[in-house]
Amino acid sequence: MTSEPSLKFPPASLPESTDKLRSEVRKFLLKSQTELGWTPRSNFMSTFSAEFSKSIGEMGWLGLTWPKKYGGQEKSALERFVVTEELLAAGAPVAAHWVAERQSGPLLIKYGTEEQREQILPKIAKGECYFSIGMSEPDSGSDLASIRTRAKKSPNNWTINGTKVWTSNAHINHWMILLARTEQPSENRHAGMSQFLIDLKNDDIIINPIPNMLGHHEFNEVVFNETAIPLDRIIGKEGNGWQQVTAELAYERSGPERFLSTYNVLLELINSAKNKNDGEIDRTIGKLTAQLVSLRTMSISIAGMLERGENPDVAAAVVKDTGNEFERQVIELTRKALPLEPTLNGNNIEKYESMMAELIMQLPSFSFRGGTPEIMRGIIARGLGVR
Amino acid sequence: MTETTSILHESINKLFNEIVNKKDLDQAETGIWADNIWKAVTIAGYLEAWDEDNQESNQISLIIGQASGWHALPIPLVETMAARHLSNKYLNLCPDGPLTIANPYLIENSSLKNSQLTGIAKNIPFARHANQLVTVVDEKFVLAPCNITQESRNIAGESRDNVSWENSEVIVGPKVTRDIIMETGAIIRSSQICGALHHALQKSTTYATERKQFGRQLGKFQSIQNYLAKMASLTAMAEAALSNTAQMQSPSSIAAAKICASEAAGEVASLSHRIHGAIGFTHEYSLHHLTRRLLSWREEFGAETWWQNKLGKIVIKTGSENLWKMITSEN
Ligand SMILES: Cc1cc2nc3c(=O)[nH]c(=O)nc-3n(C[C@H](O)[C@H](O)[C@H](O)COP(=O)(O)OP(=O)(O)OC[C@H]3O[C@@H](n4cnc5c(N)ncnc54)[C@H](O)[C@@H]3O)c2cc1C
Repeated sequence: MTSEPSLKFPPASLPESTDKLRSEVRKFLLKSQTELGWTPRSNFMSTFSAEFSKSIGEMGWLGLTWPKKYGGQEKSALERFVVTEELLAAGAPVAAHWVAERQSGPLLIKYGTEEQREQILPKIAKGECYFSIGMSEPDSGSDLASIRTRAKKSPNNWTINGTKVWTSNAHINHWMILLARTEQPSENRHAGMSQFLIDLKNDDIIINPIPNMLGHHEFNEVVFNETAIPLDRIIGKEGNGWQQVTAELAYERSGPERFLSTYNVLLELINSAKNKNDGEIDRTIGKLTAQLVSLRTMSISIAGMLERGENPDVAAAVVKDTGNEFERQVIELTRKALPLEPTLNGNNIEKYESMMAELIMQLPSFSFRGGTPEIMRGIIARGLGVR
Repeated sequence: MTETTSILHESINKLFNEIVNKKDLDQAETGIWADNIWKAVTIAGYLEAWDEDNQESNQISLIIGQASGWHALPIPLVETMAARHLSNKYLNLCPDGPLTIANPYLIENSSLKNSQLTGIAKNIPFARHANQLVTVVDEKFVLAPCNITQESRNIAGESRDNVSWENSEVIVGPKVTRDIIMETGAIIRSSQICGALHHALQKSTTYATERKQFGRQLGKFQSIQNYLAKMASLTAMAEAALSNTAQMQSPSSIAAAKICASEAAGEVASLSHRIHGAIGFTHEYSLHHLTRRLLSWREEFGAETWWQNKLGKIVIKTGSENLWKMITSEN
C-alpha cells in the first residue's frame, strides 16, 4: 500500500499581495464598462474589442509574468491568475488579446529567438497584437500528430503547403503560430514537426471564412499554397514542434476560462431564486457553487505549478474536462429550474432568454476547443499510468 | 503541503500501514475494540492533533482524517479529535480517552434543564467505546455521557449506537447553533471520504493494470480509462474543496467540501466496483472496506443534498452581485 497520489494538485493559495491587485482590476472594470459600454458575456471568446485590450495593456495587466524588457512586469503566475479570473468573472471583452497573452507570448519566451521576442512581445503586452492557433487541419483534429501541412526549407526561405481549419479569428488577428511537418512522417509520430510564425496580414495565404452554426464568422480555413516565409520565422528548434505544442496546450487548458463560460447563467439563477424558497433551486445553486469553488481551487493549484516551472499537463486535463462538464451542467440545471423558450433577441444579451439562446448554441463547442473530453480523459488515464 | 504536513503525511501512513490490516478491520466489524490501533494512535499523539483552533492544526487534522479514511481505520480517531476540538473551544477542556460526536438533528424528545439532559440520540459513531460525546441540545453545547440503549452498525460495520438520557448530568457550554456540530462532523467525514476515494482509485488503477481480458490489460480499454479518469477528477475535486476548509472554516467552504466529497463517494464507489468485477464483491478482497465506508460516510453529518440546500441559501442571501466576492475571499 502506498498513498502517493498519482495525479497531483499541490495545495496553493493566493498570497495576500494579490488582494490589492484584485481590487484595482475590479475598480478598473467597473469604470471600463461604463466608459467603453460593453455588455458582460461569460464566454471569453465572444467579444472582440481592440479598445478594451489596449486599455488593460495600458494598465500593465498583459504579460504580467514576463520579463520587463519585453513589456512584462515580472510578477507571479498567481498574480496573472487573479487578473484573468477577474476579467472572466466580469464577462469583459477579452477575445482580442486572449490567445496571444495566454499561450503565444509564453511560447515565444520559452522557445523564440531574441529578435522574435523583441519584435512581438511588447506589442502583445500593450494589447495591440493578436494571435491565432494553427494546429487543426481538415483530416487532423484530435489526432494532431497526423497533420500534413508541410514546410520545406531552401537556402532563402521556408515554403509551406497545406490547409489549416477552425482557425479562430485568423481574419482579424496579426499572427498565427503554425504547426507543420518539416520532415516526412516516420515511426516516431511525434518527430519531425516544427512551429512557425505566420504573418496573417502580409504572408501569401488565403483566409476563407467558415460561418459557425450561430451564423457568426469566428473561425476560418487558412490555405497555404507555395507560401514562402523568411527563414527566421521558425520558432524554437527544427523538429521540436511536438514538445513545444504540448507546452502550449497546457497553458491553453488550465485557466479559469474552462469553467467560467456560463457563469452569467448561474448569476441569473441566483437572482431568480430570491424570495422563492424553492428547495430544488436552492440545492441546484448549492451544487453548482460547490463545484465552481473546487474548480477554481484546482486552477489556482495549476497556476502555482506553472509558477514553480512544474508540468501541469494531467492536472490541466482534469480542470478542462471537469470544467466543461460544469459549464454544461449550469445550462442544463438552470433550464430545468427556470423554464424558458430561448429566443434570439437582437443584442439584448442581458435578458435571460437571449443569454441562454446564445449559450445553448455555443455549448457544443466549449468542450472541443483546446481538446475534446475523450482526449482529456486519455491524458488523465496516462497520468494514472494505465495507458 | 508545508514541510511539517508532508512529514506527518508520510509518518502517519507508515504507521497505519504497519498497524492496520484486514484482520483488524474484519474483527472490528464484529464489535471487537481494536485496542492495539487505539494505543498506537494515542502514543503517536494524534488524538490531541486538533485541540487548537488555528490553520495549522486544521491542516494537520485533515491529513490525519485522510489517512484514517485511506486505511479504513476502525477506531473513533477523527470523532475523538473533533470532540476534543469542540470541547476545548467551547468548554476549555479536553477529556481523555475515546470520545464521539452526535448529529444534533438525530436527537429526539430532548430537553436541557440546568445541567440535566433528557432525550434520545441516534446513530452515534462508536458510542459504545466512547467515554463521552459532544453535541448541541436546545442551542447549548453539551458534553454528555454515552448511555447506550441500542447497539447498531452502519453499512460499513462501524458502530453506530443509540444513547438515551434521563435527567443525566452533563457539562453545559455556551449558546451555539446545531450547525457547529454539523460543520465539524462534515469536515471529518469529508477528510475520511477523500482518503478512501484516493485509495479506491489507487486500487482500481492497480487492478486495471494487472487483470487481463481479451488478451489485454483492462486499462487498455478506453471505457475503463474513462472510468478511471472520472474517478480521478472527482477525487481531485473533493480534495480541492476539502483543502479550502483549512484556511477558513467558513460554513460555505465546509458545505462545498461535503457536497463534493459526498457526490464523489457514490460515483467512485460505483465505478471502482465496476472496474473490479466480481472479485470486488467478495469478502476476501478488501475493496469493500473502502466502498462501504464511502457509501456510509456520504450520508453522515449531512448528505450532499442537505449541504446543497445550506450552501444554496447562503449564496442566495449573499446575492449574485456579491457571489464572486464571496468565492474569492475564501482562498
Ligand atoms: C469554437 C472552436 C474554435 C476552435 N479554434 C481553433 C483554433 O483556433 N485553432 C485550431 O487549430 N483549432 C481550433 N479548433 C479545433 C479544435 O481544436 C478541434 O475541434 C478539436 O481538436 C477536435 O478535433 P475535431 O473537431 O477534428 O474532432 P475529431 O478529432 O474528429 O473528433 C470527433 C469525435 O471523435 C472523438 N475522438 C477522436 N479521437 C478519439 C480517440 N482516440 N478516442 C476516443 N474518441 C476520439 C472526439 O473526442 C470527438 O468526440 C476550434 C474548435 C472549436 C469548436
